[in-house]
Amino acid sequence: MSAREEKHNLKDFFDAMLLLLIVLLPFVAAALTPWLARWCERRIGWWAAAVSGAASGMLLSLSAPIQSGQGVAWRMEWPAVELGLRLSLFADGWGWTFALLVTCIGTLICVYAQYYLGAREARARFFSHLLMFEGAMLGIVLSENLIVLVIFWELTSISSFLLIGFWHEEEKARYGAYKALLITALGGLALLAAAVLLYLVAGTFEIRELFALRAEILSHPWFTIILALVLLGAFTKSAQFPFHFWLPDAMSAPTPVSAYLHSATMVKAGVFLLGRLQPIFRESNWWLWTVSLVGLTTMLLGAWAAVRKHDLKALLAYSTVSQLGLITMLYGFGTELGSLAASFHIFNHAMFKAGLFLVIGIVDHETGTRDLRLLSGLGRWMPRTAVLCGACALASAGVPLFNGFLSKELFYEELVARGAHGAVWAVWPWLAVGGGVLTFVYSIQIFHGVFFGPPKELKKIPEPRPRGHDPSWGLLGPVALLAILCVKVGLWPGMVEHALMRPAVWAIWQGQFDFHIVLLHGWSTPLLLSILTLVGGLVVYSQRHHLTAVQKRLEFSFTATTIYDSCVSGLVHGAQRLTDALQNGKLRSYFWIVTLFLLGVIGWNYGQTTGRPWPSQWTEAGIGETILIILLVTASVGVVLLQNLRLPAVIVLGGVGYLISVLFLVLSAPDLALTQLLVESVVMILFLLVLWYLPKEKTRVSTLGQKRSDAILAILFGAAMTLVVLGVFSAESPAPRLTDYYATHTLEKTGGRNMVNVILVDYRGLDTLGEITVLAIAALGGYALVRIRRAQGGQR
Amino acid sequence: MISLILATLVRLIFPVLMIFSLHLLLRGHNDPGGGFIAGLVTAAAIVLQYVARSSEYVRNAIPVNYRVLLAVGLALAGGTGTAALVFGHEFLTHSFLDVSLGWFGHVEMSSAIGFDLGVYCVVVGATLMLISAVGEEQKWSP
Repeated sequence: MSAREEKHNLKDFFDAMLLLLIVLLPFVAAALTPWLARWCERRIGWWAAAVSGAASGMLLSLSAPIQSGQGVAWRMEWPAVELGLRLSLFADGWGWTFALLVTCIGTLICVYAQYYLGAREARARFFSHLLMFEGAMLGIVLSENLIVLVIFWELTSISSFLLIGFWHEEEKARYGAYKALLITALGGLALLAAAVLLYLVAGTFEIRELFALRAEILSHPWFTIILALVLLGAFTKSAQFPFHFWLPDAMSAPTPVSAYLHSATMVKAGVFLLGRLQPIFRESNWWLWTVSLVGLTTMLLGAWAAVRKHDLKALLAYSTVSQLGLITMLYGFGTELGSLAASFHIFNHAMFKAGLFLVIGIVDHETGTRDLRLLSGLGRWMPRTAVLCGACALASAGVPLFNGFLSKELFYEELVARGAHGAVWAVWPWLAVGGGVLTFVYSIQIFHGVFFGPPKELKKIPEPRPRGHDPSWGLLGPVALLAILCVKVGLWPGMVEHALMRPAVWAIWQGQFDFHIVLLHGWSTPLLLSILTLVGGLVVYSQRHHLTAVQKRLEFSFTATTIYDSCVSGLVHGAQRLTDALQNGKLRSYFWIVTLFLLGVIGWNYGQTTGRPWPSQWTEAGIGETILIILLVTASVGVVLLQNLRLPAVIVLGGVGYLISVLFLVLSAPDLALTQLLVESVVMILFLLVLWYLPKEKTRVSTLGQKRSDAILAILFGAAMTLVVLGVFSAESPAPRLTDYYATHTLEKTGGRNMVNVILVDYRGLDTLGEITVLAIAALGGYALVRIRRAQGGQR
Repeated sequence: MISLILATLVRLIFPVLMIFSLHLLLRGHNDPGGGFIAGLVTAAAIVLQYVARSSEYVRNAIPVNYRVLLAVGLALAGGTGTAALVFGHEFLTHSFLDVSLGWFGHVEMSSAIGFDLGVYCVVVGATLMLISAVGEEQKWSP
């Protein structure tokens, strides 16, 4: 190997290790955070920001192999390569740019949160969960193995749950966290199922190998199910219709969390997946129609709902839903331009939406309210905030010179190109313009409604800070950076296009194509549509009270949330009723359930056997054995007859046990006899002890009907057991052959001569381990019951 | 009267029972015996002590926390199985070796003794935990 090749291999190795480190670092940092917080809880936000920054630095250092198209891979052949389970990471253009997005915005959020959180908040917990989320998000975008992706997917759901419920003393936070978890976890399960099905179809979990096998996947009869499951996963995570209703409730999280998770990164995981798996699915018509229709519906629905909201965070939540719908729709089209527009918009949207969320957070922080009806004219006292909000809001509205305009232009371009395909498609650009108008309206509403207009005295809010003032640079800094980026990308998209978009979009498309993102490229239909949107938006905004009236008339009486609530409560009540029925505390019903089930299983098996399971040889019983059996039967009958006198019944029951051990002895099974003897003695003692505590008078007597049905069940069970035992001695049963096997092989394989014990300890060691675990659990349970009774002051 | 006879007898029998149970434990691999049986004999012996004297006495004389014993037993059993993993075999693979002690004859030792010891501890712990918990509600000695 030449020196150059060696150097190359070494560099590849280091790059791979760096990739692994990028994913692991946030997790390690998250684990260390509570420990570090013991010394510097108040400044722990800087630690989190430093970790995020380090991660983005490491990502940037990997830019060379990414830009050249080679990508960076790390792989470990563990835990079960035969099953396709291996830990593999791969950074291609798409994963890398998304990871950069996650880490850079993460750094900004950490700095912001450091200043946003009050003095008495649990900062260590907050930043620990935030770092864990960041690590999980990096895991999703950088993983190559589908199972690893699903694991990180679920980790984001869990960390989102923890972060939404950060202020868990509030009912709203708990409800929102629970709702988000239920819905996104449902999607995660669907994704897992899809991954397994893909493995069964294509034989691999690795994404790049699946790309190569896409012909087989597309033509397989399971294709629609796989597609449906993947889309279920993506749509639940990205809050698409009809799974959009968890996002507004997730707004009870602290604002930095909303800005990071629920606008810039976590909800984008779904559309990330759509982009990632697009090469496999895009040739399918199912994909085209389902994804683009869902996207369109969500976009329009979200924008319509956003305009109505007066809680600023709820407005932004619905607007996020709407924009994600737009991105989904673009991925649905499955074209080069569509993928470009979608990916570009993901980044632009992250920038301006996070900026808007952070601004709302500042307003909330300074004035104590987020209600549009109460806020007005803050521009006078918060000029810097106003300017930054203006930049982000104009970007969101799609005004030229900002980045939102560029991606919306690409969006219109794609729709116009689509429109040439058929009559149905010709309507879409107009629907998109409608959506764009609504987007303009709510974006301007945030800016204009909060910062302009006559200043109101905010008397009605609980913590009156009547005027507010510009916050410190710690809070403004991140917003400023995002706003500057919005403008910069809007005016000079060249660097972003070359360094980020090119590798990303080529990786999604799995091929190279030429594109340019330019601010002005002459008169064209998309430009006309954009101008139409802006003009329409201004008109509607000036007449927005009419719009409100129209919307009020079109209200539904039920929403997706009410359906969700009734489903969840129905499920909970149903589970409660089932538990009450099965676990009702009555020993008799437990016994019935177990016995009936056993009878069912035995009966079914008996029905399945061919031939008669009846012994072929019978041995003669000697006089001793006959006496023994007569005594046994008498004693057993005696127990039943004596049931009203407890002490004699227990003693005769013990006698039955001893007689059985004598029987074992007679049939030359000394281990069994010994065990039976000892168990009987010990359990008798326990039984007698317990008997001491039962009340002298019986509290509940079985009715005659109950006794009769008990008797029938007992007889049936006894008969079934007899049949089983007789069956074991029949000619077809494998039992005789087992005995021979053990007899010949035990000594040489295990060094022991006691066959019975060796079976317990060696051949069937796992069963024995299970048995002693059960014994331990039963003993602990009994012990706990006794102690609870004593603690409650039991009967004496 | 009765309890005096019982107490004396138990004082004599107890060591015999304990040695017998140890004997049963160690011979289980080749002759009737084994972990379950040995554990039950030990439990019976200690229960006899409970009956003959008070639970106070037994608690002071045998200062064993039965819950810990339970856990130790499970750990031993599971640990023996996991030790097989360390040596590259599957979980719960036992091995044995023949050692000749010259004058004593030869002894076969199997790693299953660790597992059996675990079973023994669990049985002793579980039985005694239950009996002592139920029994302490009232004094044993009349």
